[in-house]
Amino acid sequence: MRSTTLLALLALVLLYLVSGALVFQALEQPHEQQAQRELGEVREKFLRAHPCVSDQDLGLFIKEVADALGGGANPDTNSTSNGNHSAWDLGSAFFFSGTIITTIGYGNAALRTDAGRLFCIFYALVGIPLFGILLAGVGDRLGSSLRHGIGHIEAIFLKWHVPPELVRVLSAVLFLLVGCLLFVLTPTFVFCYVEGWSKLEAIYFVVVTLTTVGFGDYVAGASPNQNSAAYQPLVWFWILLGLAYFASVLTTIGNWLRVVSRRTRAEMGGLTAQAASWTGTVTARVTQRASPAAPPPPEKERPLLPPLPCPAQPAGRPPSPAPPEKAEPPSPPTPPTASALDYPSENLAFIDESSDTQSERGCALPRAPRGRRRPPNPPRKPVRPRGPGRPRDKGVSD
Amino acid sequence: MPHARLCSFLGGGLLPLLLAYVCYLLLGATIFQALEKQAEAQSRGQFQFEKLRFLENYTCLDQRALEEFVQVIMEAWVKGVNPKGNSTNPSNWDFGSSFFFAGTVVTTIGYGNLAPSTEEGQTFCVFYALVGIPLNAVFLNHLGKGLRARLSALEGWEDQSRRSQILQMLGLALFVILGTVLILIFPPIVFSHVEGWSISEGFYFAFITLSTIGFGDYVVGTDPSKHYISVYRSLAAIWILLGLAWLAVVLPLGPLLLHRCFQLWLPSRSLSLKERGAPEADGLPTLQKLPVSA
Repeated sequence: MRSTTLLALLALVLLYLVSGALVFQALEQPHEQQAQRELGEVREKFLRAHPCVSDQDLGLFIKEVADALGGGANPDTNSTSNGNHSAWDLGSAFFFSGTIITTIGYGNAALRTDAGRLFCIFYALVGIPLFGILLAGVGDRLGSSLRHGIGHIEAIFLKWHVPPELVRVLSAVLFLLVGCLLFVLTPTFVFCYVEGWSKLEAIYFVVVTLTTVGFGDYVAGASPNQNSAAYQPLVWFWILLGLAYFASVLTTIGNWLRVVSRRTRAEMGGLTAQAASWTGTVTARVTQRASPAAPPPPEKERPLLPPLPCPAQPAGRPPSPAPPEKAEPPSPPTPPTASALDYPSENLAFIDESSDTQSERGCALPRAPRGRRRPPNPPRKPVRPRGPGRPRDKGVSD
Repeated sequence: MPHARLCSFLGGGLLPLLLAYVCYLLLGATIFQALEKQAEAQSRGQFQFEKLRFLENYTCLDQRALEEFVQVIMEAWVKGVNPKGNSTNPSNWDFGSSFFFAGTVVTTIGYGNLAPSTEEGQTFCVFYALVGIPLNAVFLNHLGKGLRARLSALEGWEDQSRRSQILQMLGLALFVILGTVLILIFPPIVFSHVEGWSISEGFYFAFITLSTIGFGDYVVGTDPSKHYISVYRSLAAIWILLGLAWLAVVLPLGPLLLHRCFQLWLPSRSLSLKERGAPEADGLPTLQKLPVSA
């Protein structure tokens, strides 16, 4: 169920991107060609007149060049020799749509027509929330599969009687390292090779892109001698996966910042949540407010919740495998509507519960409950896939 | 009452956070200025030199020389030099602009009309973004949550009289509309007036900015032929922060307002009961995740 939803979402986003690419191409390409043609004419005129170039002519020429640079035309090539390359061919337009809905916005090709701008506004209004949902889904998948792998390693460590605190730190470091290797270092070397950038430039590009800052001073696949059509879409897929990873890293850093400011409160934050809140809250709040009886978020009480039901747990559910079920006992003591509805965004803030965050919250808790909960850590992983199914059944039977 | 506690907590927690946030921006502005200003002056001088040399021997100008000259202009453009002006152009890395730049980094707008060109600047920018972006996100979240908690503190809402319900609704709507006009409508008009854009271009700029897309095709305070007041770009940076905070508050509030309106006109309990069932099924997985994360 879950993976099909995710696939459908992915397909939807891809469809959305392609349609956006087509529209942008239709809107922008004529304008771009015209700008290129005009520039070519200016150059030709200048060349014909150049034995007696005046300062004024030069100023005009420079102005034309600058305008062309702003308009996305490449003054480095003349209009005839490189007519097949366009900043608005399908691959590039797809990439451009991607930079809109991820809010990267490199700006190396920006809209020049009024129609394009108007379309862009509405395209972004729908696309950004859509991408937020997709990012949440991809990140969930990515995070759980990464953590699944790390869980195996954690189990090995625990077998060696490594202190649990150390294992927590190690798993956090491992999560960061594996992600770094996959989404930062590998692309860095690829960009170094393909684009001919230095290592620093490539890393700078990777970070500027994945934090969605997107200055546009370095853009992969923007140089006119780049010929492979699959390159920019590939870059876009890397951006999608990398964004999910970076969102988790940024959330982790945000949590550290919170811990530093003694904000141990279980509160979600971070980039994903922000992106997701464009719709996450829009959809969740409507339904949430439907039940006026729901008490306000009992933020302060959250840390107390898990330890309390733990002792009662074996009595409640004897036949089931114990560790994975640890997750469920808290539901009986609190009215489900109340506490469940207060964290609608927690659904999307999957990343907040990455192993790193876990370790911090563990520190905030008293020692005893953490020690008690430590051993079931590796077998706890299987609870995630089963999670959505079980409670939903319960909800129906209620 | 958890609400009172929450409010007091926010009142105590928000101010230091805000201070830390502003300090962080100021720090970034200072460091970017120190790192970038000299390199910028150097590349500007280089550009002027190239231009003068071109003028000296333009009588025997050929294709190759022109090609090289265009290349020079392009490189200058990439480095943030506006080729239209002369060497007396205001610096791109004075304090106001550096502040503006730091703001575009942490909000992830990233216009790209200004980008660090030195190795140190780029390295610093990477780490500055890695810390600043989560900080910004936490700040905006906190702000949105605090205001939302205050505004949704109408728990005994259903018990109140219809008259006060309507009054509250109107107050809330007025608050939202007034803030929107002040923060989202008025500044773009001012910008378009100051920059000489059309009104639609002003709103396009505002949208691209506040959605944090930030193409950089329209950026305030970049025209070398205009004389801006010195704090203009800093004011623009502050407007961006205000606008983002306002969006963080208002976007979740809109559905709440709509729902309240809906309840006012259609006070049938059956509907709200039906809707109460739906989030229950949705919400339980979160509850299940909760102890895992705690």
